[in-house]
Amino acid sequence: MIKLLFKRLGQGCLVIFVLQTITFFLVRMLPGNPFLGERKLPEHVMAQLNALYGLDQGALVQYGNYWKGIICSGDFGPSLVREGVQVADIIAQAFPVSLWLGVLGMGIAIVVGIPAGMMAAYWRNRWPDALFMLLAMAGICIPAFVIAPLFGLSLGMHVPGLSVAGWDDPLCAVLPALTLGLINAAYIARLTRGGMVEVLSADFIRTARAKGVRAGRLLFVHALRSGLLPAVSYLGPAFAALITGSFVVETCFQVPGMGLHFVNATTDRDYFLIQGLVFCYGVLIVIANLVVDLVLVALNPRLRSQGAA
Amino acid sequence: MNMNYEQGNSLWKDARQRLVRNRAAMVALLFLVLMVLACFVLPLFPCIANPNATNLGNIAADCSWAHPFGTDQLGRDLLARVLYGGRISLLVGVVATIVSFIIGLSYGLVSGYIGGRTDACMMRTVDVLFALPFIVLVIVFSLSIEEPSRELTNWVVATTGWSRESVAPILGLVPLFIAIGALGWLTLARIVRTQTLEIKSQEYVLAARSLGLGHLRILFCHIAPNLLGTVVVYTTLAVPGIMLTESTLSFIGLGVRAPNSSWGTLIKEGADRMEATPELLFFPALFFCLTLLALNFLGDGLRDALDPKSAKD
Amino acid sequence: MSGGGKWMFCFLTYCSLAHRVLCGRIVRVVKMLPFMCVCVAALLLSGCGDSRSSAEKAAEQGVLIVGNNQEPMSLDPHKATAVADGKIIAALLEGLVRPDAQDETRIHPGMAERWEHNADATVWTFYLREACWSDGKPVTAHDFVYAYHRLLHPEFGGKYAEMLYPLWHAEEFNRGTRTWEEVGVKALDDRRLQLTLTCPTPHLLHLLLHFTWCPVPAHAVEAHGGMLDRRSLWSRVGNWVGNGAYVLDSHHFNDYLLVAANPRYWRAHEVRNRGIRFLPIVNGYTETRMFMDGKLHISNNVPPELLAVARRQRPDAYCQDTYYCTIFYRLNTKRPPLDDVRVRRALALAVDRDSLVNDVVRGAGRAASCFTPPGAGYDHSFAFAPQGERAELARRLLAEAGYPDGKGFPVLEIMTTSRDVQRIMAETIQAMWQRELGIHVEIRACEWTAYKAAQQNGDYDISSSSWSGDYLDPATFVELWRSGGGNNCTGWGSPAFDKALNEARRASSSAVRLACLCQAESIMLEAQPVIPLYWSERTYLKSPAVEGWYPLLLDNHPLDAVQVKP
Repeated sequence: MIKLLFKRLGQGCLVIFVLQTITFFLVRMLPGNPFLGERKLPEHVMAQLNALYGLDQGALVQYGNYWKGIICSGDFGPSLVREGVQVADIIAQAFPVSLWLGVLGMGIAIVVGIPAGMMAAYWRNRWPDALFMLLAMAGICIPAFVIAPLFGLSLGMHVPGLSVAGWDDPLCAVLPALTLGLINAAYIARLTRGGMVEVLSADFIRTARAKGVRAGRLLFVHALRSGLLPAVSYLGPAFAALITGSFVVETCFQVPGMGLHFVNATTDRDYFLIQGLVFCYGVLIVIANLVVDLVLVALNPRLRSQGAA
Repeated sequence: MNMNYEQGNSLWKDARQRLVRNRAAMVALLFLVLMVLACFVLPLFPCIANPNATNLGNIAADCSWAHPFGTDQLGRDLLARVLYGGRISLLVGVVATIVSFIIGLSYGLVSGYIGGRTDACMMRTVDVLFALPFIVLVIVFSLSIEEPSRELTNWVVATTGWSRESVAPILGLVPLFIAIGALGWLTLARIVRTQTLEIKSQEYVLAARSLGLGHLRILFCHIAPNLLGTVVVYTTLAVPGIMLTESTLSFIGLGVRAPNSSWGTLIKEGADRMEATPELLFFPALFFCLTLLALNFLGDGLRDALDPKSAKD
Repeated sequence: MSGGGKWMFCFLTYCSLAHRVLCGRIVRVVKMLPFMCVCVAALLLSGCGDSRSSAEKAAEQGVLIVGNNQEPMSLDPHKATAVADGKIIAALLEGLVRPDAQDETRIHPGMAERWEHNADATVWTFYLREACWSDGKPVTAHDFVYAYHRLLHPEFGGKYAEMLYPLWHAEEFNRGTRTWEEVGVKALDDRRLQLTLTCPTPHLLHLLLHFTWCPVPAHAVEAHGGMLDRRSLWSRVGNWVGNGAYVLDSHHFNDYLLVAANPRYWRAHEVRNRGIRFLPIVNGYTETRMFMDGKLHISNNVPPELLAVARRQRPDAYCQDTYYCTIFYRLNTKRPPLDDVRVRRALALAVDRDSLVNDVVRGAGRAASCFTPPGAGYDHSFAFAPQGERAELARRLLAEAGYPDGKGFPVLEIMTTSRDVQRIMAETIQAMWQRELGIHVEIRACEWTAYKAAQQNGDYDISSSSWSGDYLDPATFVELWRSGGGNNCTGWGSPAFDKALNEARRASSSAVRLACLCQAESIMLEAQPVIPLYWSERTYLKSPAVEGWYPLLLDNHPLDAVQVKP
């Protein structure tokens, strides 16, 4: 297990390196540059700005400087659009917000999604199944940009304590977390149901059922282990995506998280900020997938031999 | 299992019979067929208005005989827009999903089956692609595809002689298919790979291997059918996401171009106006949800039908 | 019930539920559904604690909450460019003069107590008052000189250095061809500042209201990296030193920026609130909903789709002010067939502007017959002929240009940003041209920077654009179309037009100057490198508790004059 962990961490570093390299050259292929204003800058000012931030050098030199900054001083560089602000400052302010919202959202998703999927699978093709799956489909089909304002207008406006949008009160996290949570709950419920249905028709479950094992024990002890596999492999990347923020939910609820920065940095061509955010996201993806794989191995002893190999 | 195999490819025949017996799935299938007909055939009749004909004197009108769903913010007939939008959304949903389905399934199967270093390498590639900033990728891609795509349109217009207005909206989607298909398979590949890892250690696969069957045969005849259930469930789940991605991308110039619409863009426009004119949101969202609901019922039916274990029932 | 109690309650309910499931009595869960519904309903109805809205709470503390459109780029006046930055900087720094809260033609003394200028308004002397920075150091004429030096310095890369080009030799210094000593800025002593200008500028005081003319605290900038350090942190929370009505208190990206009243401000006793909270709300829908929920005192913008709702639900709060801004289409005169003036005029004539204003922007604008909005004593607008006649003329012109009934007209593209309003506008105009002229144009939506890049490189056919005035003078609009001007971007240029502009610059009296500008605009409109569509109006919501906020053409509200009643 320890060996596997170290091996995967090593691979993770490689993933981050490749990711950063591709991103570095990709963002420079975008049309325009970070200094394009709404009004045209005089040529000489544009040249001054490029020189100040070293963007006038060759791509490979810039690339070398970028890694030098990270390795020598742990510096992701300055924001090119919000001048005088370091990329690290921006991420340090936004990440806790997204993390908190992501954890809440994922909590809701798991707490709602897994039991709903299990019940649907248990009463397969009967009314609880239809009901839960209908709700889940609603959660999947109705996009976040519809659910978010709907929640804002129906709950936020009328329930005291909740607000339409904003981030000035701890209760402000409720609606965005609920939106994120329910959308993901829908996916988890569907995947859990799929996995559980598969397992519940397996021989060992029939045997257990025949032996008179109670429904709860049957579901939780016997079936859940392998029934959760599809949901767990979905959870990893979804969790990473969730704690790096969702642009739609953040603009609809005015949440100062990472998703807004992600989109703004792209449209503003803030090269270093994009790079820093992608770095964060990459690290989270690597960790989340690692954790998922470990959990999968823990859930399914059969994988242990291949997983370690 | 092996008995089934020896009887020839009756797995698929069985599956078809089981599917036909599944009432929910058949209703869903019927609904989908009707929806496809409505979107692709109905607009050919003159009773459906031109979806792009504006009438500023009749903005956001209520439902009437002339406009069954009312009109939108520029006085265009909403029914016509929803039907024409359905063409685009269904096309995107089907084509992009098939592309990502094929890539994801084979990638995950191969990665999980071979295992070891190849698996690690392939999965880390997926990690990299997953973490790449999607919008950046799409903007760069759409820029590089602009010229070839214009040439393609010109070529088709020149060779077929069809009017530009009718050809351009559909051909304009080709870059979109490529963009979504090329990146939509990542999660599917992970799921398939996990399942493959699980299945390949099961006794019947070991048995097949000890019988000396070829790798491809084991992969596609023994492993693939067993994970098809999960794959179908996930794929039908991914369709709404793909259709909505199309609407996001149309805002950065890839995909459907104004004034043409898709369900995604109609829903987005409706969502912005939900306080003032909720029906602009309601009708497109209704069509969208019903179609995807039917698709998922069909997916569930397919899953049940394809499940080799239920053959024993 | 308190917030914590509420969550504990939810948690316990869920635990008991999970317990039951675990015990294997799943059927009970279904039976418990009604009970759960009751629980949830009770929870929602019980409410919790303080029922006052954020805006009410803030009003009690004397804090004004203002929607500010977007996260500021920078608070350093030499790095800032966005409108949102300008609004915050106006609260934090004060220039030589300050604006009036009600009447934009009036200008009040700011850091300058009084001023005088020579006969042709080319040499101005400002006498500074005794005022100090928020750290207690006095504001001197040298701070102004330092600020202008910094913005214009060729090694600093000031994006808005152009704003200071009216100063003698400023442009040459900025390009690195002259030395700083030659530029027309001089501190005669600590309290006297002399500005020498390139041409007679009777409207200089209006220019001075722009944030680029504000002083910066030389000592604070020097303490954080020096004059030329673009990455200087002097304008961040903790380091900030200013001379305005407020000082920077706290700033969280994309969340809020709080400024608190500056006790050292020279007219601190006249500041009518204790602080301002700027919220960077990009999404107009979110902002409008937040206002309805009592989260803001003044919002920035109500999108056209919500205008009807806002007017109906909050008639007491809805505001619609004339704005010094034109929405127009740029035509790329370098590309055929747009290089033919008849084609350009035909396109312009076929657009029914009244319909655009009434049906697309829902009355939040006025149909534009010319480019420069009326204001500052300048009015070039005229009444349109009926749309039928205009369309007839348009068809004739198009036929003359060789495209009768639009036959053979190449497919052009309207380039827009991804904003909804722009897209709908393009769809409407596309339909108008199709109907009136029989020509088909395509719509290309671009994301923001790609749009800017394409426009500035001339890589478009027709571009959906807007321009808002920097200062209250028609020159801010007309000067745009000078041949080869940076923001022209249409490829159009005319020596006659440039000549008229130069005459306006040299004009001795204001009336002659306006006449010259008028003549220039006529030349420009004749050639039609642009299609003016409408002069936009600002639509926003303002709480009835707000006092001292008046409609202003440039939207430069001195926020220290605004009070919010609890």
